[in-house]
Amino acid sequence: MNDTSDPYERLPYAGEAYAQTHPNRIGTIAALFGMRPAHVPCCRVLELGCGFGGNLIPMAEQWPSARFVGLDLSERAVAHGRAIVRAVGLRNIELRHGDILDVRPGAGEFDYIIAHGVYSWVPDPVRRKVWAICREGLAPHGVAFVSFNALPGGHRRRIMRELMQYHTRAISDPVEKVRQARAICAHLAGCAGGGLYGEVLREELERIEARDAPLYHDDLSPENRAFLLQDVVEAAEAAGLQYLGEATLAHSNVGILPPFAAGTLAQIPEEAFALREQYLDFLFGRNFHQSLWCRSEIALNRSIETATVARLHVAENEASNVPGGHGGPKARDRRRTDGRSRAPESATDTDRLLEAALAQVCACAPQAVPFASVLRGVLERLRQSNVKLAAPERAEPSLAAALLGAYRANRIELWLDAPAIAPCVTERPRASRIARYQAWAKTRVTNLRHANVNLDEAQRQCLLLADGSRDVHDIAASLAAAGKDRGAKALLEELARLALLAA
Amino acid sequence: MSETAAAAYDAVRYPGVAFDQTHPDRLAAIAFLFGMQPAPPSRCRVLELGCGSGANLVPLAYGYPESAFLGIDISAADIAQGRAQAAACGLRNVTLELCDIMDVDAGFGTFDYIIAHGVYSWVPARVREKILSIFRERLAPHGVAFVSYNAYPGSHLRDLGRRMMLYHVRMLQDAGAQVRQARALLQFLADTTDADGTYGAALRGALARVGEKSDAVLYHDDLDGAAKAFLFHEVAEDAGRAGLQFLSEAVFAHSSFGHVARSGGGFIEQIPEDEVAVREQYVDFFVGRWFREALFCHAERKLDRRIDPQRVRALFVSGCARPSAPRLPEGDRGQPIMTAALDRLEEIWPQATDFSTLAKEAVRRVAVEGGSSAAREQEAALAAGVYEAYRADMVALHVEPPVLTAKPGERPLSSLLARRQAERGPIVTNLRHETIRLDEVLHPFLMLVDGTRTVDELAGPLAGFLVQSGAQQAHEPVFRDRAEQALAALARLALLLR
Repeated sequence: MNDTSDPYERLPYAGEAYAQTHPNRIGTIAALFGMRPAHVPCCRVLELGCGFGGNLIPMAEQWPSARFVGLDLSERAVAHGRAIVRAVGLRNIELRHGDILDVRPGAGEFDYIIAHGVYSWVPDPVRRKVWAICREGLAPHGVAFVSFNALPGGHRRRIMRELMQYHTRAISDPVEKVRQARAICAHLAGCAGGGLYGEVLREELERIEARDAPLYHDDLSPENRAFLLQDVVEAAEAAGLQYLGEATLAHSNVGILPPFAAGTLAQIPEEAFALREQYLDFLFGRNFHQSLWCRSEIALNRSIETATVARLHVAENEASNVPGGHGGPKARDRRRTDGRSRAPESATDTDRLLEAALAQVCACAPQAVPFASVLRGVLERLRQSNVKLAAPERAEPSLAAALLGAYRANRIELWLDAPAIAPCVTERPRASRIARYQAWAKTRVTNLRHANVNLDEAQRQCLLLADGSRDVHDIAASLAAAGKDRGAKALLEELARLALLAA
Repeated sequence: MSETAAAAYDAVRYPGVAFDQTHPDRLAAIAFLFGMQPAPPSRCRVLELGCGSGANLVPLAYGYPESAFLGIDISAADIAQGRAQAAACGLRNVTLELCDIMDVDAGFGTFDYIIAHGVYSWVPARVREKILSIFRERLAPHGVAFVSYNAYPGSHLRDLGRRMMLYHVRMLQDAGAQVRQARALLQFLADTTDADGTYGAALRGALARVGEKSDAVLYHDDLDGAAKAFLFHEVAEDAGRAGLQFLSEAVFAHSSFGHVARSGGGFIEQIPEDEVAVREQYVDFFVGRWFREALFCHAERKLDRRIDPQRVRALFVSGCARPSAPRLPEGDRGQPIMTAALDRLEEIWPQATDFSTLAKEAVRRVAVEGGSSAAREQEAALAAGVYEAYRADMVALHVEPPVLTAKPGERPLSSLLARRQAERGPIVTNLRHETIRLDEVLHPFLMLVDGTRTVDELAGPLAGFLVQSGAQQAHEPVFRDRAEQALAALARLALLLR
């Protein structure tokens, strides 16, 4: 295969971990809407367009009893991924080279199917095939994650996209193409005046000034379509699937709207969930969807029962900004719904419980802790600070409701299962093999929360040593030999806070 | 064209107005600058595709009795209305036919100018193809075609609002309900979206834009789900395949030959001059163009793309009093000779003057010393300056001066066409082919200025109109100078013939 037929060679897609695609998180949404999602430690996952497995490999190491299959059209990407799998020593993951059109999943073979960055970038027959694979391959309570470029926001993205495509129409080398595309966008945004068009251009420039690979494989891709959510819903329904919701529930949070707007949207009946979501797209101007789908025959319960929350694990949300880019609710809006701004005398039980819960979850970070453990911690905190609840017998449902509100506002995360993350430095600290491989390859590393982390050089050296065979003194000795001036203990504590050390 | 398309236009009448950008005189001046030999507006043949009620053609026919005008449209109601209007003005040189664009054939003959305004973006691909082939087949060798269409990238921002309105009204059958609901949705979104983001700003801009539109225009422009926008290079390539080449934008200043090219910060100027289509495409990116009024001619015409500014010496010049007219930066006004010429154009507005008369007057004013060679230098500088001002849309160039007067005579006469239009409302077409809304005094006053009354005889009725409007007390005497002022106003609006 030469450069032009497999541009992955010249410009590999970054293909890191996508936290929002983790079964732990998409399973949570399914559970909240009344489904019975598969138990994460032994689930079966298929990823379409898996690249070199940057998303699947960390999951596979984390859940050795689960099974992972990835498929990609780039032979080089798959070969690269297989080399990593061998180096890390995983037996529960299979990376296949092939075309989505040729996939024949066994009936109900997978609990989770992920197609991230695929749908908008493939021709129509492949789009239809994605739905067919989901319908055929999903277990009865299986969940599919499908992301796509969305309208109305996609309209404005086309301005720069068409400029870049036109400007680079005669260039074939991917690296040069990206360089020239970047240059013309910067020039255009620099020339533009102060009007709306200029403002839009400058915002779009910020977006494309991110990294190289997404620009080439996204904006410069000849196939790149944006859809109205409703059009995607109709295509999925035709295949026997239904819209479950967004991968991030906070993106559907009507609570951040002005009351009159929230009231207007509330008039849309609950059965027409996708319709309400469509109008939210209009209000937020969304340009990207990360949506979840399940089989049509599943009866979903749109009014979330707080009892469900009591079966989940609670984790701090370390990302202060909403993932998924512009269009989503803004951080500064969140105060409106979380009750924090209220005066103490008017505080309700929910406010008191939430405040204590947030402190408790923060103290447990980076671990995810079971709801029952949060409840115990919260009650202990309230006792110590002498706060009395108006209805102590309702503490459990009130806490669940409070956490659900915080989850909707993107202030905490709720997970199906708790990964084994060390809360502090253990006697023989151990980082995951994939993280150590990544540290060795000098790329960003994936932590045990399935997030990507940048390490400085000292942290990187320390991570390479944290293989479970050395204690702090051994690591300190090796680091000292390497001439590091930060203490090993401090570095290990940093790694623990970054959720890089396993329990 | 389908019956549903025809029905849509009968249900909600499209308000036709004259488009001065399509005037043969304007197209001829541009063609002349590029070295073509365009037909003079006073003796030419014009075809308009999608002419509606002839609001564009009928005034042209009135202004050029020796020229022939043919318009076709698929709305029977529009054609009937246009014919009645032409008959009311006693015009015999305009023909309006109920005819589908797809049915235009060799029997139509050839034309010096073909206009397709507000059509290209709103018809299916096969009709677009047909329009280009009509240009090719029915255009005289030195003919010029005008085609307007919704353009990208600017239309992407308009698509935001349009797409949402279309989605919102998809279930509604009734056109009136669709318009109401579309407006309501935009209002809701504009009120709700982020106050400081560009998305909210785009929606509030869309709301302001549709707020200015009548229901009919909103319905046809925004709620036509099939309406398409194009990148310039797509249209230029299609036209190229049809045997046509791009000439210029109808507003010269808006083309890459005009001052708009400066928006690229030096980028446009680096593109080779013969790659006009590439230059034009980048101009659109730089200015965020959302609408194009493009001129095309036969591909085999050899065009002189390096326009010699001295060519303006063979043309007529008039000022540009449109309120939106850009002003030249002080530095570009250049030499005193140019300032003198611009002053002169303001004095004679709305009339045009031939270049040499303008030059003589300007030279006289700046009192050039050094004899005739210095005067010739000054004239050359003035030609360059006038061309520069044309590039900035500050002056208009004509191959023939518009027939009108700036100085009302003792029995002033206004445009018969405008008087006939005024019978139906205050919106009239002036003698520069611009659409004008008259106020409550000038509107009834215009109808009396029919060449039969003296200024003194007009003063009495005018006083009545002024009293009705509250601008004058009933007991005040009638003054001749008020009539003179009103006539001067009509003259400045380019509505008087003598």
